[in-house]
Amino acid sequence: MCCNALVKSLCGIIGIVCGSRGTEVFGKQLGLVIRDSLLSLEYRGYDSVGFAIVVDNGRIIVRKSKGKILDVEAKLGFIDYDGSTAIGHTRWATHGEPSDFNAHPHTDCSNTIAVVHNGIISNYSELKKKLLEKGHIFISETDSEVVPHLVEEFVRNGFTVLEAVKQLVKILKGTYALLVITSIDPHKIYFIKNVSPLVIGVGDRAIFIASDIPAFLRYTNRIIVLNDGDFGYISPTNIYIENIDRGAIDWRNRVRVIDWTPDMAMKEGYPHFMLKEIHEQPIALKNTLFSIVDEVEEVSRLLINADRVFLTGCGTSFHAALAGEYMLNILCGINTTTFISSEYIRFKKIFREGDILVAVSQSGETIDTLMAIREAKKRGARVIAISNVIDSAIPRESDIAIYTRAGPEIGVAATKTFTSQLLVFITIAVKLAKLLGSEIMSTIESIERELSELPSISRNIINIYEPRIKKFSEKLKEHGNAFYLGRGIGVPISMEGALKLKEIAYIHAEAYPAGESKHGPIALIEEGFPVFFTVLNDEYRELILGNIEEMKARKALTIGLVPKGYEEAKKRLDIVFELPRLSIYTASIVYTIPYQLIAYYTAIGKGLNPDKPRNLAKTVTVE
Amino acid sequence: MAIDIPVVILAGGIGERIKILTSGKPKTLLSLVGKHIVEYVLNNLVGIGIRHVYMVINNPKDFEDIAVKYGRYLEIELIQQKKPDIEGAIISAKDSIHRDFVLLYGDIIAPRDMYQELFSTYIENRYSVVLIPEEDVESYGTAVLDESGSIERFIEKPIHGYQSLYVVGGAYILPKEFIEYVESYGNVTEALNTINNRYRLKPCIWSGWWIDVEYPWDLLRASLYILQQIDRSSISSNAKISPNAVIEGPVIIEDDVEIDHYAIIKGPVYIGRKTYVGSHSLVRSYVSIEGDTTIGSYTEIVWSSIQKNTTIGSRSYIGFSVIGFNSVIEPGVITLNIVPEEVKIARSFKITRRGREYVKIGAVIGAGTRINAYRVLKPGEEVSKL
Repeated sequence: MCCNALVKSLCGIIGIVCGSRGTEVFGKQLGLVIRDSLLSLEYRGYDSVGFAIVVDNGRIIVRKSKGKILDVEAKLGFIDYDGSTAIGHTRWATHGEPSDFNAHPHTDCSNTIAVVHNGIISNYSELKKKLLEKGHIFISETDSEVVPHLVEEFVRNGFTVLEAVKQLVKILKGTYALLVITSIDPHKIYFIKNVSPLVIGVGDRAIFIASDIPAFLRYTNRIIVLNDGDFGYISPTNIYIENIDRGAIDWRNRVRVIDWTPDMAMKEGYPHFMLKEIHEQPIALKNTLFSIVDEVEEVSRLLINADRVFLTGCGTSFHAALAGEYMLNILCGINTTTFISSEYIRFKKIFREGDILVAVSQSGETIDTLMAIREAKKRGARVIAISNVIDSAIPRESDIAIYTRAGPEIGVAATKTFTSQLLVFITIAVKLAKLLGSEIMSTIESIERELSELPSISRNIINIYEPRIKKFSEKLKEHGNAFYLGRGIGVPISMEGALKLKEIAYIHAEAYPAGESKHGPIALIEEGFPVFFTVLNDEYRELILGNIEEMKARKALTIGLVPKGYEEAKKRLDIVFELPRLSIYTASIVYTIPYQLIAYYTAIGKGLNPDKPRNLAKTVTVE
Repeated sequence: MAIDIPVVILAGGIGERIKILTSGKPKTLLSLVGKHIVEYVLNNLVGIGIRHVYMVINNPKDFEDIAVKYGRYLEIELIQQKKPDIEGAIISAKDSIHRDFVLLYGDIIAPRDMYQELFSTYIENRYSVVLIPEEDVESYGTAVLDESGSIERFIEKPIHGYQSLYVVGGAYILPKEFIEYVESYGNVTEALNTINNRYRLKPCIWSGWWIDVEYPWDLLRASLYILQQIDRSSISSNAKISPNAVIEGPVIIEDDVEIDHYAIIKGPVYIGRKTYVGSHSLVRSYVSIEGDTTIGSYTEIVWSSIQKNTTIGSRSYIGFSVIGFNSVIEPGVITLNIVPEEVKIARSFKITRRGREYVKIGAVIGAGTRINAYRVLKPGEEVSKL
């Protein structure tokens, strides 16, 4: 085992079959179509890339390399390959070096079977041992390479490829989405799905299969989401889906039309997805607000009858959950417990019937959150999911789901999905407050009024502050550290601001409740140390003045997001961003936007690509 | 990849606010780190795969060399500007443009990605305009975005204190009828508003650096960005560098340059052809000496743009300054450059050194001007022979 270090991966895969050559169907070589699809999947990982294509005489050609797609484009020569069947892969190693050998696709001994894989095959070492005994030759250190050799072995023993694939479902353990092409059946792509995501795209002249919808969205918006245990094939004229437990399935009943237009998944004239998604927030918020009414109604009824409420998420989604906790506490008087998903194990003896766990995940595939809800369900708790991706794993395994419907988010740093998650929590809190009578009606009405104005308020914030922040970031980029301080709901907002700066501008940023300064962190302050203050129009607003003073006294560079006209705060700050006077609920969204822009422009100022932060992947599907 | 859309570059403007440097020639022919300003646009177009370029200019003779130089990559057609102003320049292209086209201002300097972003919207079949988030919008044409992020309207001269405006970046993809609207309204902003009402121009928000060369100081800003991008030194084998001269950091030193004994060159610095740097002189960060220039001994130059064919005498100090071509600075001239706190100068520079912030700006010396020996120039002072 030691010499076979398991290279786990988080990947994007794509397969395309069409009736004739790519140049006839798409107007360009199939290699280029694969490349474009892989570019749309690059957010899933980007340290190596490869594709396999069936050329005219049925021969399979494999091209692969480590590196980002655009960096190795010339080396791989996507443009040089045309055909009617191809698969591709983009990969992100969690450990083990990315290398040309470990890049997908992998092939069998005779190069007649090629496979791309997303996930982990946990019993690969015993399978590999058996295959080695039978004389198969392995060239990579990946778990995935057992698959082509297994198919080869089955076919050699007289199985059809479809039968071989069916056998794989039975013997492979772990998580996997697999695509298989063969010289025997050059017009089919076989697939298997277990846990790792896989979606079919039904086009007029081509059929697609991929880890995620953006891979083929420019060609078709008719999709089939595959379930665990599904296997089968796609061909230019047919789709065959069988489930290992339920037998053959009529795919026509499972086709859904999604409402994302193809260009929604592209950059649309913005230099980066992140900036595009920041700018899309007014629209995204509007969509969220209008589409969640029924779901919130149902969820609120569940919550009101809960014995205890838990909230969970990872990263940005955790910050949304934490903000949600403040809202439920302050507006509804409901006690809740919020935890980071990966820490779920400590609740093993605590979850019980009558509990509700609200799980927040943009992708709906976050493995830690998935594990947490499985644990909660096992103990009898009910689960509410808040996700942006329809039919993803977490909503599927939950009792009820609220979809943020913010549109696809490609930038690795979450922006519009965070603010729409906050909006979901506000809407739930407002609904519950009404049901419980925990807040006076005039307060609730004024929050509702603010919510209806939220799209135009947030648009104004972007327009007013984008230029100022661009200039300010030129200054911030010179610093190596920053603090983000807030009180009340300003704490999770500060945490999100700090996370954004860390993850894309690579500046060490720490957030904590402002009152904590004198219990330790203030020791780090020296002249010019940037400290951000999230000052809301709430009962903490006077308290935080003292915190600004204590930082200023130590010559920190004090930067504040403050309610308009709050002179007491303004005169104590070096740099002021004035924001409209709002309730803390809508303010949580509005205050987030400048923090997103600060992180974005600081990254730009440092010459970094905010869409591709180092060491990070959009969807974390490994523990 | 070739992109099949004609590009119109407006390159003829003299530039009212910069005319002491241009001396009647178009400002797109000012030099910046070894290239004419308009060459930055052309270079980016070559990189993107554009074929057909129409350059609107005043005097074809001025641009012949450039047209030949880029003729290998681009089909360049020179169009003589018939009427004054930007409107006149646009109308001049009317007979050449029979379809959708790209309109670029030749005095804008930005990285290639900005143009790439604009052209990506053409692939989506959209008319579009580059918008820049700039804090100081007063001297620019601007656009207001509505709630959905679309352009609500264009505003020619924003009223002071009007917030939430984006600067129009001088790069557009437009239908040909735009030219007719410019002709009938006699005004670019109104024509843009009409096109926008009909087609919903797509805003391309550009977040990177972007310079509109309008004031002399903009040359300094531009040379900062361009020199910052130099990631390796290049010294011509024809250059004569004294063995005890000190050369540090990224520098570009062109053919037939001579750096004399004990001179110090501290990059990023550009030194153009046939320039002489005298003994014991110090040329430091963000200086671009365009060529055919003589710098005497014991002279210091920092963050300045020295146009072609100039002489800077011994024992001078030139900082944060722009010197026009064919000018002579006699020995011992000093440019003061720390602006007193109470004075405000448009587009000046804030520099932080050792924890203190300074507003800096030097002198602008017009083309063909002679500065007498031992003169002291005040911050922001403009001197010209006119």
